Amino acid sequence: MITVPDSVVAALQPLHVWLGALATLGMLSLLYRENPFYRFCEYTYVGSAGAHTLVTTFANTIKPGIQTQMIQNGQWWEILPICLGLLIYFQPVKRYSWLSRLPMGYWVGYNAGYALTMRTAMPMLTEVRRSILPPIVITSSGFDLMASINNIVFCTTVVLVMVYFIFSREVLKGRAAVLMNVSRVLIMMALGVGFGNGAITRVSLLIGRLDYLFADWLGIY
Amino acid sequence: MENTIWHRLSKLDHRIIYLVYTIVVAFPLIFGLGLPLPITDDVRAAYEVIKGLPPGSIMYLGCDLGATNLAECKPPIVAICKFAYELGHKIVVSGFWVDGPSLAYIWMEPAMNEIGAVYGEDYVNLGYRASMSSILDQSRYSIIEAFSDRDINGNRLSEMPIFQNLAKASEFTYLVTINPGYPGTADYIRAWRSTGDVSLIIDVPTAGMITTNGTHLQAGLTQGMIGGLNGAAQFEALIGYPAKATASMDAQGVGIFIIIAFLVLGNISFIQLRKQNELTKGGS
Amino acid sequence: MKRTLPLVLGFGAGLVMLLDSFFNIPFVNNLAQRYFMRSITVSVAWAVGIGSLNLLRIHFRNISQRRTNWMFSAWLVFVFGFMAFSGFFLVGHNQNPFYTFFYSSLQQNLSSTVYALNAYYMVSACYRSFRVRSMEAGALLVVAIIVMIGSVPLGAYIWGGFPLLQDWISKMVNDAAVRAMSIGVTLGSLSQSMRNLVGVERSYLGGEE
Repeated sequence: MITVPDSVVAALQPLHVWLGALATLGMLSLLYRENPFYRFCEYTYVGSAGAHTLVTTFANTIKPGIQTQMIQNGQWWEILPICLGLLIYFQPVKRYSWLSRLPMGYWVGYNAGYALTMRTAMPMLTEVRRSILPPIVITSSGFDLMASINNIVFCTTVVLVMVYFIFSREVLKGRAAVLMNVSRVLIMMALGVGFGNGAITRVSLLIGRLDYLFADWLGIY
Repeated sequence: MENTIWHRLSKLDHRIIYLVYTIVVAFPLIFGLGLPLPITDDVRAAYEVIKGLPPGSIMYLGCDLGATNLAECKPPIVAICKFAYELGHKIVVSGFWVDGPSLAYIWMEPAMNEIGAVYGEDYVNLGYRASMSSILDQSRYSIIEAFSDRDINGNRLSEMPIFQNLAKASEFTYLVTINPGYPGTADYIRAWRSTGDVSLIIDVPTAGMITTNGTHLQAGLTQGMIGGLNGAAQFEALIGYPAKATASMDAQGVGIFIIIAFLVLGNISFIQLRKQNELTKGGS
Repeated sequence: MKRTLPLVLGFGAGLVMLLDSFFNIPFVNNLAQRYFMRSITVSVAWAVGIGSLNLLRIHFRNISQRRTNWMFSAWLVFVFGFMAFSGFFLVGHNQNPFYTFFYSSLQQNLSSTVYALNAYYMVSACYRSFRVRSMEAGALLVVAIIVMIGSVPLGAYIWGGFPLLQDWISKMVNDAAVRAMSIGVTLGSLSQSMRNLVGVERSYLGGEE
């Protein structure tokens, strides 16, 4: 294992914000037009991200497993699943690619078994139970009109959206088709909420970048 | 007819739009508008839940995030950790996105050092682990075994004071999940809430994820929600620690209004052009 | 055998998980909790490298065949090698200060800027492409505007009713619609899991024999 002298790391530190700012500007330069500076940053990003995935998985999952479970605790049986996992690397080799199905089958089977327990059913049943709300809400101070309206709107929306996905246009004809139209408007309203929230997320990300450039790099505020 | 303002607007260079947008968003970021920040019930509920827990409570902080979500995820992580430490809670960080725990480590270290929290005693970072379902499931029986007895730095968990009173997932008092996508809150609910191991979950989604995660809150599967940068700013206000999220709120407001303005302008332009086209066709 | 063996292996793993969940049989519980869960963690971790391997394969091919932008591919391979070498061979691996320096200064900023670009594209798309041509599109637009305004302090400053309206739409309409979809998705995932477990669904094994 190699040790990097502290002096090298200390010497690099002043470059930290500059490198970050150049990387940010490089990516933002795409807004003007496609250019080599952007390409350079893009490939740096992909290369670095690929390596980081590999390094982090090795350092945080594989190495502790070998170090502690196998060498210290003597759980040598873990070599078997390791070999199973490694079979996935036969995928590009045409003649033996069928071997890569073994780990795939094992993972899919495990997760299928995992999903078929109460782990999946419990949240769904809770959600179903919490979708059936009383249409008339009486509190200690009497009839609560707003809560009653809210409950009716909530229950109706749940039912109508389910109806939209369960029944086709061929089934719901004539007057019943109105239900489909109402359902569609409700779904579009939900998508509108998604769109609005999505826009807010994007703006937040942009603010983060501008904040980095103006505050951390340029020190304007 | 080709030279009307609506024609010119419809052919506006996208780079002008980008430039206008940058300038307008940067202005409140630099100068600030100082607008009041209303606190929503969801954020207050999250605050009340955490505040109501006794000292010595153990929080599991699920940092399932990427560097892409830096702006929305860093402020709530720092604010929640500071608040939890002040209340005497212990913090255990992990995550199943490659970047998550590493970033949490980089972001948390300065903040935790500043308030005097001791690594291994007050907080610990378990690092990234592949395969969320099996790790969370095995943690129900033994956290140390599930995480191979090592933290992010390769130190032994069994030798850390924080693990003297923590053996399995059911000993976590509450779970805070930072959630910009999948896997995330829904998977924690499946792994630990469905099995009855952890019943208190505070959801910290990005704004984009509020759309899907609100239903968990309504169903009582989570107990509070600190949604997006706005939620983080509200949380900062509640704990009396205004930081990056609070400073970004004015810019966010202006940024959103500009999007709306462009949306409306684009549609007005579309309607006007359609009218003009109809007139031209009618005249010819 | 090439198709049956993976299915048998999957069925066995799934069955152990099911038995562990529903029955209190010490042997099965121990098998699932000590061996099966652990074996998944270990095997999945070793398989992560296939993505990186594919990435390198593509870019090595770009370089060897001198395709467009092959110089950038060479740079990518260099960056990959540099980061991988630092991560594997420096003390502390991904927590080494040298490695962390490049990770936090470059990758963190590059990654967050990629997604920040979406904000600009969103503004441009809103201006150029988002057209209200039907009642449904109108509903989407109006709700989106209310949600956006109601979610920011500036909206509350203009009119205190915006946050309330936004909250009501989000909780009454959106949560209910998402709930209905979520119930459907869960039922679908349950049936899909059952198909996977008993081997009815085999598409994940690929088409060839």
